[in-house]
Amino acid sequence: MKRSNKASPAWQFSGSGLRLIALSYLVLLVVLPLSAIFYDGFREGLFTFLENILRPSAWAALKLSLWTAAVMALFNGMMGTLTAYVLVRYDFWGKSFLNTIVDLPFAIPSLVTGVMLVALYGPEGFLGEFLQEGLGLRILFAPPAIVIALLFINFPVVVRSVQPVLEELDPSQEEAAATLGASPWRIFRSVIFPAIRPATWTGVLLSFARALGEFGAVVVVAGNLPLFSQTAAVYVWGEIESENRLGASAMSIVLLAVSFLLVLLVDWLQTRRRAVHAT
Amino acid sequence: MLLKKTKGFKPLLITIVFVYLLWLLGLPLWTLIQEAYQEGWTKISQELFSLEVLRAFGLTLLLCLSAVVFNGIFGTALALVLVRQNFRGKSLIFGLLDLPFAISAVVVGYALILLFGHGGILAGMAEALGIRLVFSVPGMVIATLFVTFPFVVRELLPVLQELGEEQEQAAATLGASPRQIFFSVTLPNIKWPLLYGLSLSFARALGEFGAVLVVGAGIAGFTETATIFVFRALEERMYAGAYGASLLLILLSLILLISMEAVKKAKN
Amino acid sequence: MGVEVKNLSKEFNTAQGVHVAVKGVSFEVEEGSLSALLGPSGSGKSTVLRMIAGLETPDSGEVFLNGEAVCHLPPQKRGVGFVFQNYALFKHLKVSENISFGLKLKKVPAEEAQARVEELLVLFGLAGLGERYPHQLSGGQRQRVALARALAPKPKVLLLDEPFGAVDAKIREELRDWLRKLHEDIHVTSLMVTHDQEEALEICDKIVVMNQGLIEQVGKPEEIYNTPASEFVAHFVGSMNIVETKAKAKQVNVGPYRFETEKFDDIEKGDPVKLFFRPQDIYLSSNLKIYRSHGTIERVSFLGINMKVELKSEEGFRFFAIIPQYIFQREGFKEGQVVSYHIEEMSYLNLREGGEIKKFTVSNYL
Repeated sequence: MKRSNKASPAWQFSGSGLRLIALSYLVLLVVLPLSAIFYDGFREGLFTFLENILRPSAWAALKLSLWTAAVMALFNGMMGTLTAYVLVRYDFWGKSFLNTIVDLPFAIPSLVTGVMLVALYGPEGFLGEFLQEGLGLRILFAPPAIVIALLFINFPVVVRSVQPVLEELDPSQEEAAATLGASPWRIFRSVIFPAIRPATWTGVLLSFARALGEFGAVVVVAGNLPLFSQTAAVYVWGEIESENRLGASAMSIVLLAVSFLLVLLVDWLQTRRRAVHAT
Repeated sequence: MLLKKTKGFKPLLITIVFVYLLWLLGLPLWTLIQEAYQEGWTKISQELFSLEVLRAFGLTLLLCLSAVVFNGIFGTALALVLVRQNFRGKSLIFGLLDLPFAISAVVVGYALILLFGHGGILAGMAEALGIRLVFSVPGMVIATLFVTFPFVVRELLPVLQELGEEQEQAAATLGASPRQIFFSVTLPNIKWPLLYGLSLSFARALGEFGAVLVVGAGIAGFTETATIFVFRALEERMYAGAYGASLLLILLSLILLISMEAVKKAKN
Repeated sequence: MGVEVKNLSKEFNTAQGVHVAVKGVSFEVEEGSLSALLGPSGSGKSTVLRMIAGLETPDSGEVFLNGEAVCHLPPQKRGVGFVFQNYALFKHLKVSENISFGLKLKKVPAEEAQARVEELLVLFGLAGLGERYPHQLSGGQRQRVALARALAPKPKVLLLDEPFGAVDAKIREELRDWLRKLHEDIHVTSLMVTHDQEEALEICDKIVVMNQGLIEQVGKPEEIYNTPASEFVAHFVGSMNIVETKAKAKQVNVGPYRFETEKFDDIEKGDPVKLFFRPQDIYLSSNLKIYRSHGTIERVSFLGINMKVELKSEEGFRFFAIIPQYIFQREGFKEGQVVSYHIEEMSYLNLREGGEIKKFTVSNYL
């Protein structure tokens, strides 16, 4: 029987009271604060907004955030897909341990991630000393540290997005391709990847979105030098500290807008995946 | 059975994954433990048992518990409304559920300052109620709720969908009021996913940094959480405190992660 | 009076637009009787049942339980027992806790409730299963727990939504008999929804046949079966041969049968007419002289005590007969054999006029 769209009798959780409470909570908690930012950022008009976002330090911070997040997301997409593949298709010693470890970055506070990376790549750190003295590479307090921090905290995103899709994928397709003489790389490219592509992209976009706004892990390792290693989120923080509201609001609006767009895109990808799955 | 060609591939791929994870996750963790060890446990425990640090962890615990309580109530209510009721704009709300994962924590904190801070839209209301929301604990609670609200809802949506309405209707025909239906039929059926969602909220609240830093300003001994303490300790080069508190946070997270795995098993 | 339904209507908004599920339905169910709402899926019968229970709100109309209008009441206050198609047992509660659920809500003292549960467990053949959980039971057992749970608080009316829809055919029959006996013991006014006409005919005192949101016929099983009021009922209840033909001058032809239209004052020349006859009302013989009409056996199927024989008459119309096994054996029928036949009873419906189906006995054929 089809459900009624009309108000049902008052026997269950259909009371409009419950809906009012739940939705008001959402509006007060999420919608209102976010609208406050848009209101504040455009308060002085579009020109002031643009002026604030095009300031060299702001523009550089935005560019830095975008390219570090993009580099991370692509690399993470590769390694995450590979990890998911290994976890689903192979049996090996330590597999369940590996499967648990994948979630570790979700559990560890991102700031603590930063602390660990400082300890490792810092001038006195185990790898930092070696890279700095031996190879002349500067990782900490420079963009490479940002990418590494972002990789750490986003590692589970792609794995957990791709893994369930791979699990549902029938291995007989791969076996069929193999019996036809396809090379492993060929099998991956023409059988596996087309099936998991939406899931991989979902993971890549989600980790990109998370990376763009990441603060805790980045603020510790980046050094936060304006025009060099200050990301957009850290820039917002700096503007708040120095009570430059317009600057903070303008950058926040840009970050929010990108987040909205990415969420919409991911949503679209997921509905499409479901639609493909249903047929 | 794959052909022989692919056999050599397996150890190669597994090795790549292990090496990558060793570098990305293992090495930093090992270094942290190593550094903490070099600082010495006595020094670390001294730092950790100072009043300030205890207060910081206490505040973090408070935030975690608020997240659990509020998400338990409102998250469950929201999930029920989304699954059991039909209304306009429902899909919009599903979109909102993804946002906290994508929005920068700093922006969340900043939004609350704009709303409740000096000259903010709702500053008057907060003042009239006599609550100080900016640079204070209540504001940090709100920030924590913002970043954790999707966890419970997301866990409950599919479960409620699958549970269906029939058991609830059966209880209604037997004379159970909506409240009785919820507590004696619905809740027992969703308790494990609910608990899982609450642990996720707890874990997220435990590690939250940006949002609570911005809205609370990290005043030592007052609005300083465990993560904010770690940040300050690092800035002030109090490495023993920073590493010690970091390790403690990791330990707490790990305990949570392991018990969550247990809950996950119970859930299935 | 047990249950009375007056002019109930209900629409649903679906993705495809407004779907009218129930269109002004009225009927009564006598106190203490066991009645059925019979119809195909989508006929609106479940919606009617749910509106009686209060699980759906009617757009218009009223429901009376023991003479009292109840539409303003939520299901909690209607005092009905409802048995769901998929049982809807509380998965997290033991069998005994499921049964005592309604008693606890009525604040029945613990000892009394305990005694009632024990009594029901025995009555429902569930003795010793009280400590089990629903998932540890068989389909038939679950169904009986669902019934026990609904009956425990002594409801005024028992409503059953496809009560045997989810169990195997064999257990279905057992449960059916058992439900009839149970009803004879406790005499609670019961209304069940079913799409299985055999089930309704076998155990119910009264049948309400529904189709596309409307009532087609209300009556006792014999009435429904013997004198179907509409083409739908004729087709849906029991097996039926249906032949469409046209009345010629003074007569209607069905195969060799020619009915003089003078005998049917409502048929005129050129009227399209549908004729209905039950497969049980056909006599067959291998002796071609016994009956006047002849036909060829095209196919024979085994039904157990009966045989289904598909025939093609000399004139080319096809129908099927159901004859007892012993006659089939005695006459030695085979596929391809030419036999003689006679149709004893027919009903007709004048498609031009519509209205009720009329019955006649075929004794005066030419």
